[in-house]
Amino acid sequence: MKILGYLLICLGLLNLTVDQPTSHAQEEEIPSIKSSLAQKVFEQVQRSVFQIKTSFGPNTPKASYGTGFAIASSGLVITNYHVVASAIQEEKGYHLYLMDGEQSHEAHIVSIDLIHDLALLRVDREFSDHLKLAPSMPAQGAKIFSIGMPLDLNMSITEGNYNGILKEGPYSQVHMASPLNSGMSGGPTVNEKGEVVGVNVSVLFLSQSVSFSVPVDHVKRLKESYNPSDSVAMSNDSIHLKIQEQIELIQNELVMELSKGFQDRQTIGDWIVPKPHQFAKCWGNNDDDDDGFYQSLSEQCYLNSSAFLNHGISTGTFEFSYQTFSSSRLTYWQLLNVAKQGLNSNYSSNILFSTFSHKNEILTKFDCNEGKIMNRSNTPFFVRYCLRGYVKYPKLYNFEIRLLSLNTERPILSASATLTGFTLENITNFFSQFIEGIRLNEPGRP
Amino acid sequence: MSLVVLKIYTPQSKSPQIVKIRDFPCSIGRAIKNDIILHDDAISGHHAIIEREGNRFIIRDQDSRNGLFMGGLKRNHIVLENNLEVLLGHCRIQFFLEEWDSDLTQEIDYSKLIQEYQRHDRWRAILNYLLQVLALTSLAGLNFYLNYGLQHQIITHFAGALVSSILLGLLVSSVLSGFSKLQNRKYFFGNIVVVVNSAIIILYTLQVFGETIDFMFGDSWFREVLSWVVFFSLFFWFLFSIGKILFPHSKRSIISMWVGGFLGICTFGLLGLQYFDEETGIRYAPQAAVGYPLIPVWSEPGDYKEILTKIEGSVRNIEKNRGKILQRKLQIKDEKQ
Repeated sequence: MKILGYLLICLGLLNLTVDQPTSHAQEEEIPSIKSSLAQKVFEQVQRSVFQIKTSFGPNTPKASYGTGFAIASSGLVITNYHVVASAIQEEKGYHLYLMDGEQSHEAHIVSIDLIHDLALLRVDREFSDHLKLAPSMPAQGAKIFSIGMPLDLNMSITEGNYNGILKEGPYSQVHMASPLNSGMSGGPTVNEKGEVVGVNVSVLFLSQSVSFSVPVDHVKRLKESYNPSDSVAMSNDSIHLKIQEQIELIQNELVMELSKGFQDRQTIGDWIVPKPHQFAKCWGNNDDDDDGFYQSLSEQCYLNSSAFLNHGISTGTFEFSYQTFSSSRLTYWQLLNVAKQGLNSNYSSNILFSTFSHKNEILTKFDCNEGKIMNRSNTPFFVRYCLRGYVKYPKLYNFEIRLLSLNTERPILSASATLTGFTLENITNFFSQFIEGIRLNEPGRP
Repeated sequence: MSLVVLKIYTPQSKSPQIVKIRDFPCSIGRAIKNDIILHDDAISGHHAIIEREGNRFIIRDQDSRNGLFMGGLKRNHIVLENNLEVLLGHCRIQFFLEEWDSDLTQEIDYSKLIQEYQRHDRWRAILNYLLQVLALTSLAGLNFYLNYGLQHQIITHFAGALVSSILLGLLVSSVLSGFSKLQNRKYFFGNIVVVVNSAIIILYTLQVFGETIDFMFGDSWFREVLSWVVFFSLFFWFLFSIGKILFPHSKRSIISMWVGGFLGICTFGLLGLQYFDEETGIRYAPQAAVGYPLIPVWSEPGDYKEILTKIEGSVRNIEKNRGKILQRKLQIKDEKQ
């Protein structure tokens, strides 16, 4: 179930996931009877939409690409952060170019919003045409159009419906029923008048046509935060500083929300555990042994949203799980051995991963420790934790913790939590609340 | 086919060593490449050689420093006879000539000596193997107990754990014996099996016992004592076995065991205090430094705030790692320019 959960949040970003068949079907549908509107919108919008490429030089082949659109005649272009991420995170000397037909113009990053996956670029040229930002969001079910350059083909338009804004803690997304393809990232989603209501971000992997875009409010905010007088491009260091600030800001909110949830308790088997906040998605399972040797209940909760940092690395999110084990057929030590196996497997694979992963250009190695502790309700635990830092963001850490209860004669609880992109202070706060929130469900005790 | 039996009296051992020679020529000396190695300072590296000439056997001096003596006279070569005594350095060698086909048991007293010696050795070997089988069985038993009920084929699981470790032991022993044959002209297979099995048992014990002990007795002094007892008994057993290989017939195996054990404990003790895995950040116990590190030193139960202190330590390690990565990046940048 956990894997399925991961798959569901594995989003079709940029040139990672390709869902070709739907794209062709969609393109053929466009010149049908109802699409006179789409034709009109396309004609209105097409001159403001461009391909954004990442490459070593203006005429060298691209390393990655996406779409962008002009929002001011003075050369301001909006695209996704993940379209330009490799130019920021990978120190390979990449440059960004805006492709206008065969011509390429160098683009500079002037502002970013990591949380909502937006980047504001500036190009040294005037745009004859630019897109207007919609003053308000359309009604649910209203027709919307997404424009972009899927799979490095020609510019295309897809038609869909607006399904409202999804809010998960600090994250918010426009939910659309419309097919998006890789390469369309950063393109505009417009209403019938051709006004921008969102920026294409992703499709839900393995779904039919559930896709997401960034609400236009965030584009407005990003545009307003940019002061035209400081036209100089942001240096890489200041971008990193800004990224760190933004992650710090949202995880303060995340921890606050989490603590709010932790005020409440929930029961799982014979245990009382901290309850996750309502915006976390939870799955519950019955993991009993097939041969009936032990009974097990499990629950996994995670935040569906996260902030994309670079390919394969997301941050600013959390996940935790509980699993209880009880048995009348096995002794305590045998049962502990069952519960222990899960504790070990994940742990060592993480360390191996961190040791051999190419990603340690962005993240440091894991530093792990373990021990036995007792919380205030006198529950003894075996605790293992792993901490790793971000190379460019000295204040932020990824934290993983695994607990195993050590009360003999009682059902065993195994609990784990993963926090990514949190400050040390928030990690320790979370840790204390998490540990203190766990106790046995003993009737007669408050 | 003839056989020469040597009864060697060395100053170090009370009872003589019995050596049977079937292949000729056979060299005697202190160097490890000889067929018969004598540990004595008065013996040269290549001291003498026993050759066969037709029906006779001759021992020849190989220009040794201290020479070959018979009846108090220095000799260049001696034709061997039954019951002949020769002196090499401080070692006295008695020769017995015997036809290969003849029945040794009907012969004079020395054959009884051989049998006695062999029996003594055999019992020791049997005891050694029994101990190992016992240890392996109990470890497999513990593993079996913990996984009981989760195995569909209990017997297969139990036998599998046992047989696989034994097969692994035999495989490694065969390889090492090959090296031993190249180096020493002798296989020493039995001794190597002992050492390899000991090593396997140590690793296996640390793996199975280590974690189990840690969980079962995690909060008590009993855990500490038990894990150290298990560790030291296996460790000494291991060193003793190595001693047997290095000095198969000498008292030095005992000395080497004690010296090696002492040095080993000092080293592992020091290592254990400082042994800190940079990859994982886990501090390990000395006993775990030998093999599969599973027993963390830090195990006292405590307030969860102790973990917070540990996290501070982790942060320092991460800072170091970050520094290294940044430095490497700078280097790469410089090289590019």
